[in-house]
Amino acid sequence: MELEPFLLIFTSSSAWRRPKAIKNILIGRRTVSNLYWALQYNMLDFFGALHGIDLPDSIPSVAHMRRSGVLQVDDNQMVRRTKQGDAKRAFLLSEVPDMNDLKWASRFEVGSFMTRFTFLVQVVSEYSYGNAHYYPQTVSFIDRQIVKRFFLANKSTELPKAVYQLLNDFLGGLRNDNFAEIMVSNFSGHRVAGRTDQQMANQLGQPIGQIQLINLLLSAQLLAFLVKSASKQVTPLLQGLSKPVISASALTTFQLFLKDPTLSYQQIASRRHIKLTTVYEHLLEAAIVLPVADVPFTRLLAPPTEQQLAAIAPDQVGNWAYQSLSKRLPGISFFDFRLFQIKRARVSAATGKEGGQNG
Amino acid sequence: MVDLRVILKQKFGFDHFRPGQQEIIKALLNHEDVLAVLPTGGGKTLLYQLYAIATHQRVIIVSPLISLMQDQVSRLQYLGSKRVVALTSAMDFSERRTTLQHLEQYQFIYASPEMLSNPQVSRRLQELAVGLLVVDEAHCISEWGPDFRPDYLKLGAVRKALKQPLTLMMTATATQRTRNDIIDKMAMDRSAVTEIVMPVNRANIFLSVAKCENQPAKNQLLMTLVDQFSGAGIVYFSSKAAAEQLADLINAQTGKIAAAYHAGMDNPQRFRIQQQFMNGDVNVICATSAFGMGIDKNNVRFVIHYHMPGNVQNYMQEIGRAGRDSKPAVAVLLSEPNDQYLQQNLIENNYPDDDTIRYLFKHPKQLAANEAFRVIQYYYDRQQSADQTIQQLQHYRQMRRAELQKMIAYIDTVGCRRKFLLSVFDEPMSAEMNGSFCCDFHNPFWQEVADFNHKYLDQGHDESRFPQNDWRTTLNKLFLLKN
Ligand SMILES: [Zn+2]
Repeated sequence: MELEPFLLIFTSSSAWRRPKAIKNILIGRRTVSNLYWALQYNMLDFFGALHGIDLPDSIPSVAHMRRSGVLQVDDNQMVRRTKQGDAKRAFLLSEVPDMNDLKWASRFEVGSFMTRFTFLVQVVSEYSYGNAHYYPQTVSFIDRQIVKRFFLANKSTELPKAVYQLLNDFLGGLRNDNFAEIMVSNFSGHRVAGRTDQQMANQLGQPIGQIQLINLLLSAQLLAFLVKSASKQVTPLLQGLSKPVISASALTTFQLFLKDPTLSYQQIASRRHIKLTTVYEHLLEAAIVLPVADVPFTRLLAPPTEQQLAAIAPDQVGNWAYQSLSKRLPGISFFDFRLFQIKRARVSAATGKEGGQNG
Repeated sequence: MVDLRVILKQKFGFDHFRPGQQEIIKALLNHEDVLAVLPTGGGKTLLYQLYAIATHQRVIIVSPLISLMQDQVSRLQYLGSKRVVALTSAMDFSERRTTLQHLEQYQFIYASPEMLSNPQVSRRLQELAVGLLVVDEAHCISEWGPDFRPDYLKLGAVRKALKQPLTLMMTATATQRTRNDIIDKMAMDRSAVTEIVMPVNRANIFLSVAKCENQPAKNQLLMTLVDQFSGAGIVYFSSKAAAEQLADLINAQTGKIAAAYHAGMDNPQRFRIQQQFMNGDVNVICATSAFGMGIDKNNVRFVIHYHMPGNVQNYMQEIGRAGRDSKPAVAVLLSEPNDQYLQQNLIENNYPDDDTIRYLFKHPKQLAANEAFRVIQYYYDRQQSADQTIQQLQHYRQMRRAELQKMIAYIDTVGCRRKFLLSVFDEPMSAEMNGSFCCDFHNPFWQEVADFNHKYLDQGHDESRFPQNDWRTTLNKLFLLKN
């Protein structure tokens, strides 16, 4: 999938951002650094939304976007959107479904969902014609088993009608008929081949990256449509697709920290059989991704330390570098420093002071 | 004794075996190990599928390419076998684990040679009863150079570990020397293996070559041919970029609909193109060479090579996609002076240079870091010196060059093209071949392309068009609803 539409959307015209970090956030490589930048870039809702999708290297994409005048690039390979980029972004957003639906791709494996759903469409389509003799799509063992079980459990003359009804309701509710055309192009069935993204791009006169983005957002919407639908019948199809907000290991560490305030970090480390640095990482992950109300910031970051940091903090706390601080306040650990930044970003965002950096 | 014809009719819907099929299955039922040389489209899958049905036994199929394996799995499922699985490196850890746990449920197990060398997989397979071991594309055992797969050489040991089950080795094209080499490398006894060799010749495919002045002239000729030929066709390229470019050009300049098809596309996109080709929505597939398709389309009327393949064996395989319905079809090879340099570069670039080899022998840790160094790793593990390895690779490079020269000689030949091709496989021209439908040596094909098309390729069907349905109509069509 092309990276450029995403870089256009998730860069900012007011702040410099790292394209590589944007890519890592979308892929969802779960490191504290990536999560931290997702927080700063207001992208936590989209963390891992493109997990499992092949994305090109960011350098050629950025170079191309610089040449076409939509991005500025500084000496540190940080980028900022130009006026022209703003206009292009606004146009792109008007051409695609609601970007906020990308959050469903962060919470569920949308790619696997679409594999299952398109496979189901093929199986049901051939079934509606009474044909058992066809080339099935190539899907993984697990997805095949899930679709097969679902099909066998629901096999009846009513099934084609039900799948049809579901799709008709969903597609009929889209604001743009082209969206429905793009969605339907994913489906192959009896004597219906579907179309490739490239063919749809040619047919509709849109860039292929835009078609891919529309497809992703529609898949996320369809998934949301099924999750929200009252019908419990479809839940087996969604089995194993949801992604946890926090890694299981980090959650265990955090819960131990909550349960017993007398434990030192070192003690937590030995109880959990992990390194001390890992404890720090786990707690930072929790401080970034869990609801603000669930994070005891005052316990994590002692008020005197916080006051020390606040006294010398620059306006742009998010981009504040630890090296420049450690010279002025040598006793401050990286852990405390990051927590200070996280708290600033989260507590102020919660009170609405500094949000909406994507504008 | 089972009646093979009854199974053939009941399970596959065919009245007759293709040449060689019955002979091979009978030999297998007679517990003879078989080395079979069958042309592409000669019904290789049916051999072991029918054997499995007749004996209710499990079959393990060794296959070199993931894409080929997935194709085979699709094909078998299409033919009604549901207990099929492919063990490939494309599986993630949990998927592989689940599959291995349930391996006894499968009657057909596909695996790459690398996968079979994996101790976990091999242990699991040894627990199962194996009725037949099939080695597909068996010439890979004998092939050397950058395409060489060291794990193919371990197949002899794999066979031993599986307690030497009945074995069927299959390949589309192999000279006697290659056949001997295959049997030796499998650690089998030449005298104990039944060899069944089918003719390479495909009498219903007309052969022709056009030497163009330059690339623009070649593009122009391609457009003309695609426009003139009736029915479905495949155009082969040696690069993805060229396949895509020329597909666009065909769509822009001819009345035909073309689509590119190559390994750079993901599974769903490839699947849709396949289905379009099957349904006749798309007339022409622009494919990269050596890339398998999961479908058997019988009525391909023409195969055009925009780039020549690296050797005559590949050429025979690729044109073999034409005319599987036994009706007349045509193979055209387009060439221009720069083409041979392209192929030469492909050969040279495929081999690591001498300095790289010396460097890697001094820094062997880096061998494992790169798949491309697998061959060097093989020699390193066998404790050869850097110089010996360089010499050996030189030798294989030389062989590749000679093969390419043979391909070029085919283009330049002034005699009967069929006779030339068959001579490479030590196959004489059969008496039934005559000049009326053979090659552009006997026929003034290039002066009469339109007549040729009318006489042989045009089957009176309307050219199909891409269906221009809106999404509502498509939904209705998908689920057989008449509103
Ligand atoms: Zn001839």
